[in-house]
Amino acid sequence: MNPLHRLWKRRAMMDDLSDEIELHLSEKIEALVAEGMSRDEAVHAARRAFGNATLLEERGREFWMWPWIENLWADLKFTARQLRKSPGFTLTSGMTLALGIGATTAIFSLFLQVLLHSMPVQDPQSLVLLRATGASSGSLSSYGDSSYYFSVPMFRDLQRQAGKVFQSMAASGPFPGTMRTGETSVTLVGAFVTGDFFNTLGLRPALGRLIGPADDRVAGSNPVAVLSYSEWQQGFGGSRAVLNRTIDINAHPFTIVGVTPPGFTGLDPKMPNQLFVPMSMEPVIPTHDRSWLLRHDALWINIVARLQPGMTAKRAEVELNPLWYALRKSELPLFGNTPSFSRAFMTTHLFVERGMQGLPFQARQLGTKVELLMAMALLVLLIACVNLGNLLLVRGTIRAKEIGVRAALGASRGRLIAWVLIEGWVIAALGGTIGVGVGLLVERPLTFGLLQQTPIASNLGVDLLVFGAALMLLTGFLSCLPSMLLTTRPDLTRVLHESTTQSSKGGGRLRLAFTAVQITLSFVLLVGACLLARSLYNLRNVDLGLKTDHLIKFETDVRGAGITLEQTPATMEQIAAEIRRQPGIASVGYASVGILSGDRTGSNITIAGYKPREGEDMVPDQNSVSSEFFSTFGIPLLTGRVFTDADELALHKVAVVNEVFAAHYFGGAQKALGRIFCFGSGNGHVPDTRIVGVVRSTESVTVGEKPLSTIYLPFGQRKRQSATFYIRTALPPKQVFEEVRRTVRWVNPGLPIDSLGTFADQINGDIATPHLLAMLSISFGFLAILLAGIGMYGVLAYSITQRTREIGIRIALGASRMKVTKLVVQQVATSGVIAAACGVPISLVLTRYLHDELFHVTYHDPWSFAVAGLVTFLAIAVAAYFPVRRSVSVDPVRALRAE
Amino acid sequence: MPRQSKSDSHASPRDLFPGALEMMVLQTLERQPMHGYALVQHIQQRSQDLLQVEEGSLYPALQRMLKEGLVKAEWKISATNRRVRMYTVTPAGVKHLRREVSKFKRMLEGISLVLAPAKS
Repeated sequence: MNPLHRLWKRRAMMDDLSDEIELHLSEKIEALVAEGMSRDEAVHAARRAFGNATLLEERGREFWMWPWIENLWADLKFTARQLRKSPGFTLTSGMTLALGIGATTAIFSLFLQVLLHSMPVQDPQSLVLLRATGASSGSLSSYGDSSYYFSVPMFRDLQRQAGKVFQSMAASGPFPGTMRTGETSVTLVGAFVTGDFFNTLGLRPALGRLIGPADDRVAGSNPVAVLSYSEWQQGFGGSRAVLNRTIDINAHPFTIVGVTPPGFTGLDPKMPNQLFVPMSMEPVIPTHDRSWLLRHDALWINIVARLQPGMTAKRAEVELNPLWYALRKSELPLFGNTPSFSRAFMTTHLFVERGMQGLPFQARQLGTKVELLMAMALLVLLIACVNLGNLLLVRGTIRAKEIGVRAALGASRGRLIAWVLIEGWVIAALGGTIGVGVGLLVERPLTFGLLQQTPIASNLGVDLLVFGAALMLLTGFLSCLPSMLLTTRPDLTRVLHESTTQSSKGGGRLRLAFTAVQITLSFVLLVGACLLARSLYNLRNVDLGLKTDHLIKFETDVRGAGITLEQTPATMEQIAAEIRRQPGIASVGYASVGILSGDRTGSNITIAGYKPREGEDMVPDQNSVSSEFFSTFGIPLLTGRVFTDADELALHKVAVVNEVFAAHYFGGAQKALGRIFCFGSGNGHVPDTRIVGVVRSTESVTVGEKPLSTIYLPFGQRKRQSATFYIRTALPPKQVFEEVRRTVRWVNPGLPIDSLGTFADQINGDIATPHLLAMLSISFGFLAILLAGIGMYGVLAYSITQRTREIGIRIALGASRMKVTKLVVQQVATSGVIAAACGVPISLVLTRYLHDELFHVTYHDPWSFAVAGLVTFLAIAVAAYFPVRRSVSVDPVRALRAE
Repeated sequence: MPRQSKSDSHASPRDLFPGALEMMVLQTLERQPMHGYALVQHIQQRSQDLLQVEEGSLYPALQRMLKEGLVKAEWKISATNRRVRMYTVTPAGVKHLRREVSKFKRMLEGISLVLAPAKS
């Protein structure tokens, strides 16, 4: 029988014993009666023979009792009674902790998801991600960003020779595409994966099977697809009937063979993959015009590997790099590039990084935000602890006499400490239960707000409950610490002799210090909140160089509709023309790269008569746009002209550049006009594209980033398979959405419509994370100052109650009310001065860590410090006002008579 | 042998050394599961009334053995058609009994050696 079970059973055991004794007696009586005794006599005789039934029963019961549990139970009952007797205290202290624990638990759930929750893979400790960067990493990648480092041939080379350090290696490369099932088309991000991909990660399918080595042997021969769990749930309703269903991916039929385990969306958490297909299928649905499968210069995949037993990431890195350089060297001639490229290429270093959390870069980026929030939440919790500690201390002082009596009656110090501790834990449990409940409630929206994705499906609830319980124990203990140390060793003679209204002086200074600590910490939090709020304000009001109001946008992609690249411009133009024809539409433009979507594309250029400096960035962003694009966004033309419909027909190669481009390469807008350039670098590239106009620069990648040098090309000249449309209209958005859906379906039912919405919403979505960060930090700041205010009020109210007599005497002896007020105000002012003296330097040290989150605000922004100071001052003033008023209105006669 | 007086019957359990009652109970139960009243009767009969157990003192002992897992208890209907709590000895109880009996025998041997008249 385990102890808990036994405790449960105890009552039943005891009842059994009573029954048993009763039955024993009746059996004995019957036996005696049968022997011929009268019933009365028999009853007495039986009892005599049995002995003291009550005592024996009691002794029998004792075996089932545990003295300490009985004690604990008694203490708990006593504490509960005490707390019920002072509901104000219970409520204040409980809520204090509830706020602190709730905030911490909620943020901890984010913390878990971002930092501790690894991908649902087997033995993540031995998984590593490879990264190869050097002096100019970004420009080497075939995608605009720098998080894809390898080509497929590079991977094959490495795989052949790295058997000593890796048990297995696998690669995945993303591809944008459309998936058509029946009548509906959706755009998605899929991944080409090598045959070892799922084996290397050690994943088990949620349904069907995953892609295996057999699927990746012969190019183009295995059109199978594996859905991610979330896509299976959202797109297919989690139906088991998806197995063996045929779907069209970029207009090619694939068979669904399985579903990944929940929570897995590929290697890159910021670009979740909804679908996985074998790498061997890349030539069938190429990401670009040509297949990248055999190209050494297409750097578009990531490599994940499992270390050999006993191998560390560091050692693997040391062992692999010589091999890496050798491979680079043999590969270099295949590129035929410029010397600066060669140098950049040859100076890359191969990094082997722990791959538990998807790509480390994103984890780091989100990680710092979550760490910040965690730090703030912990500060709030600390304030809550100090606050409760203070309240308990006050309570302990009030009950000094009670404690004294207990001690005098022989209660050991341990027992007194246990008593205080139990009270603390009961309050902590009370507040903690509410707090954890609230934390669990806000976990989901919070995760979505910050990570822009639904929480990872897992048993996070259990982790949070354990964390919450641990917090309760810890906060309860910390809060009790001062009381345990100070009030459990009463000076008996004094305590028992003195009247209750005379306070012991000792605790006063400590309580004041605690108040000062709370104010200091709140001030620090408020400074952080002000900085982030200002930063958000700046971000909201930044001049994007674009007219963002009354704009509606959507994306489409022709890959799934059986439209060739050649036909794409005509299709796009048809969509634009059809929408433009509707009444109430001012203009319609489109671009291959969405504005402020976070995407960018660029390639090397060569400019006629321009000699690049050593290592100069010759990779401006480029965007293929329609002729109405500029007017739709309200981007002003500085000089020259924008595109005409003739340009779209690609009669002459022309381009429009932005001001940043013109200034960087030519030193001014005017000087850029008429200059000629071409894409590509090295021999054999003849400049052929004429710059015909210069437009004002705009922020184009993300809100808050500086405008980048950009080339705009006519969509018809530089064709792309997908485009984002922008519609300027005064009509209500809902009405236009319908119009768009109908029009696009009419043009071609196979065209998907993606992220249809207003441009303003897109921007709000972009700054959702800083918005959430600012809002949370403001909430934390106010929570903190609220707690500090309550703490201040409590301490003042108490000390004035204690000093009523003293104040009464002072007034009776002729002290002016002003003077009395001064006494109290002095106390407040002391805390304030201490808080200011500590708060400002502490803030200056801590706000440095905010640096990366701040936009156009310095971490020592004086305004933020001033506002935080003002709020703190006001809070203290309000908290102090009522106790001070009470002190002034002390009636000397009553105060003196009260004894 | 006539029944002992009341006061004697009070003294007798104190004369039993600790563990003696336990051993007798386990020994009895090993032969046959019994309820409390029957146990008392059995022990008194077997000892030919040499030992007088205060009937009630059996119950704390039984509770202790229950807690230590030496015996199990179960409510049953007896042969005489009354509701009784039947005690059965557990394997742990049997082991305990063997150990205690051998300890007891050794002790008895020791005592009797000391008490034996010196042979010289």
